[in-house]
Amino acid sequence: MILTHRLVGLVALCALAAPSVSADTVVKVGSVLALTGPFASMGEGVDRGAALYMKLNRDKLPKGVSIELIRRDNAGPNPTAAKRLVQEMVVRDQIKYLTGAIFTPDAAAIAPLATEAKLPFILPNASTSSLTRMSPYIVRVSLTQWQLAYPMGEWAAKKGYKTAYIVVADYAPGHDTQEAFTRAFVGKGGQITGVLRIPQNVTDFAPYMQRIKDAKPDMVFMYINSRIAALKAYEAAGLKAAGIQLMGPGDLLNDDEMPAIGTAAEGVITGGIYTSNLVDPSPQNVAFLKAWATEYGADNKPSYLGVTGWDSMDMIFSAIAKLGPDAKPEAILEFLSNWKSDSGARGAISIDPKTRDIVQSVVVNRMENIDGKMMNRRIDVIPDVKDPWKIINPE
Amino acid sequence: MNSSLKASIIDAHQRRDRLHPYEVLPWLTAALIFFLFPQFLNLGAHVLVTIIFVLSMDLLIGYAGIVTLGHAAFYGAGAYAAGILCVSAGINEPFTGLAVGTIVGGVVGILSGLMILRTRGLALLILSLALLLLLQEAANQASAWTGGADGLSGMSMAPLFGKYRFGLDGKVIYLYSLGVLFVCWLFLRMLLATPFGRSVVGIRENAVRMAAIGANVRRRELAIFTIAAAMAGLAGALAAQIDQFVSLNMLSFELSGMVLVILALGGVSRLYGAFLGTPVFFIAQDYLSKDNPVYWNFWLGLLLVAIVLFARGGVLGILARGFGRMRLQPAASSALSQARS
Repeated sequence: MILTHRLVGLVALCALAAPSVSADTVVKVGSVLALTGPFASMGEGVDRGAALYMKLNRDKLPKGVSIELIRRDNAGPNPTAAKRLVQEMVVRDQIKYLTGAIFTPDAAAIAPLATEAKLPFILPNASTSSLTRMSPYIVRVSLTQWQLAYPMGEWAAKKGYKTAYIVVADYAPGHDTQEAFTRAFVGKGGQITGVLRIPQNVTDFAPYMQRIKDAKPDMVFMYINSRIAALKAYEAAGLKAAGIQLMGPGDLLNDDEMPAIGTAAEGVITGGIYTSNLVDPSPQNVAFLKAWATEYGADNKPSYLGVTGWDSMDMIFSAIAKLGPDAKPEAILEFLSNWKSDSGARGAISIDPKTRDIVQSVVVNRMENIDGKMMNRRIDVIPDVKDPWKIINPE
Repeated sequence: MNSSLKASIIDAHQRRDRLHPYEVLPWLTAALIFFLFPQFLNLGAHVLVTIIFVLSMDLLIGYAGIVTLGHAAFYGAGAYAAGILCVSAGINEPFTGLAVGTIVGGVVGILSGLMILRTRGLALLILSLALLLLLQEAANQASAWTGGADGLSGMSMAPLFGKYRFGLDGKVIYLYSLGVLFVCWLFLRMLLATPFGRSVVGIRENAVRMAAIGANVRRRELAIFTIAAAMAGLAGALAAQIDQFVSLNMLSFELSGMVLVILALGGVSRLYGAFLGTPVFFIAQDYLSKDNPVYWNFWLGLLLVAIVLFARGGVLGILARGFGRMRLQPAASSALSQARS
């Protein structure tokens, strides 16, 4: 008796389960991020942005199609692990889309694999310009170092700054930033008074700041890893009091580090692609921030990585919605290379079909102290910036 | 020492050097994996390469008793040598790359060994670490050659034997790595059975006594250090080839640390510790990180703590406690211990 009951139950269960299993076509999407290790917060930003998009936009997929996101941790930067994990996702899971790689070396190691496996590969962070040339299957939705430093160099020169000191972290992205800013600033008549390449693990910036102060430049352009220490030293050494303007790319003032930096950041000008900490945010940004706060709590603020994570998933969803679940890689790539959106938190962005790199506005913000709260105020917008490196170094 | 005791000691030593039927097990397993689990061949190839690297570390720590934290220096040197040879010089034949990686690893080994081996213990540990950090910064700075922090990309290897391409499915890189590992294992097996190999173990046990019976301790240590470095260079070159990428991680302290962890897991100075520890580490990592990509490190850490607390000598130690007693016949084993004391 009991056995028959169980059998009936089992059959009923199968009947219930069967339609949903057979009707849903599953599109597998792979994601390789640094989810542990010293840079876990970066991977987490992208991961959360993507998860939030998936949760809120299920109805964008065609009926009977669902997405399975396969998340892997390479504790990056770790190109060896990144490549192996992607190889496994290609062979074992047969993913159709790939997103991720926080760091350039991770993406560079995956690039030949994406080419060989014909796997559309969306970059939500890695920002070395040449990456998109390493595989025709790479599409970038984040930014490049040049995309921020170059227009900021031109902007600063246009605003009347004559001399600049450059401070960068002594590794490839820092060197890129230095070259981009120098070319643009000098090209518009500015002069570079000095360059400091600072080893990545330095946390005491006092001697460096003294050197800059002695050189008396109009401004400092800074791209550094230990931002909190550097900004505090900038104030403590009296550079701010001496009227030396501090500028940098957007991530010089990370929103999640602002409580630690405090008023030392007052007056600092950054040129970035996104900040959650804006006096007058756009309607898209307000909607994004509201969804984020509902999901992750009011205290948790997204960085630009949450936005690029969201946008990378938006690309994949819209590709599946347009082309269906069984599209050929070439068709997917064609679609992604011509992708445009104005619904994301950044406003209007598009992919340049020639280079598969992103075209977006660089927003110039000044950090202000508004009733004891540090907030970014938008002071200028440089619209439709393409990656300058690719224009200067044609293929 | 009476003659029968002497005979039984020699007998025991010969018995120890002879191939044991169990020693076919790793190779049998490797062959089975190739046929039964084709979807794991990529992971498998990386396990095999790491075994070579761990073996070279075991040679230093387990056999020669030289504890270093800088072994990744030679691995990275070999990897960059193979990478630069391929990208800058355009020589992409796999075996040439391996040879160059081995030589470069060995040369860096002998040069640094001349310096490092003047010290012992903590000083040696720190010096080896310093060497590793210096090499890493040098690789970061020489970005024209090494790609710096962006990594060295664009390695495209020629087909193996001019015939077999390094494909996506991982078959070729698996067999290639397996072949190289087999040669390394055979070499080590023979090396450790030679009087030189024995004398290295003797130095580990008591360097003063070895010097007293006329062995040149410094020279022997330098020789074993160089051999271990060359083998690490070989592993690095192989890793660079199967990844077709070289990064600063290959010169990192974390990598040296990982190899130490694997040795602790598998068992030091047993040769097969590497064969057991590496797959255990990789499978645990693969399985745990798949289950939870954010918190998997916790479980790996717990596993390590458990091994170190409750199973000294690693997985192999547990096995040896179970089976090892049966291996040497009582008479021979007591003869050995008598001779030692």
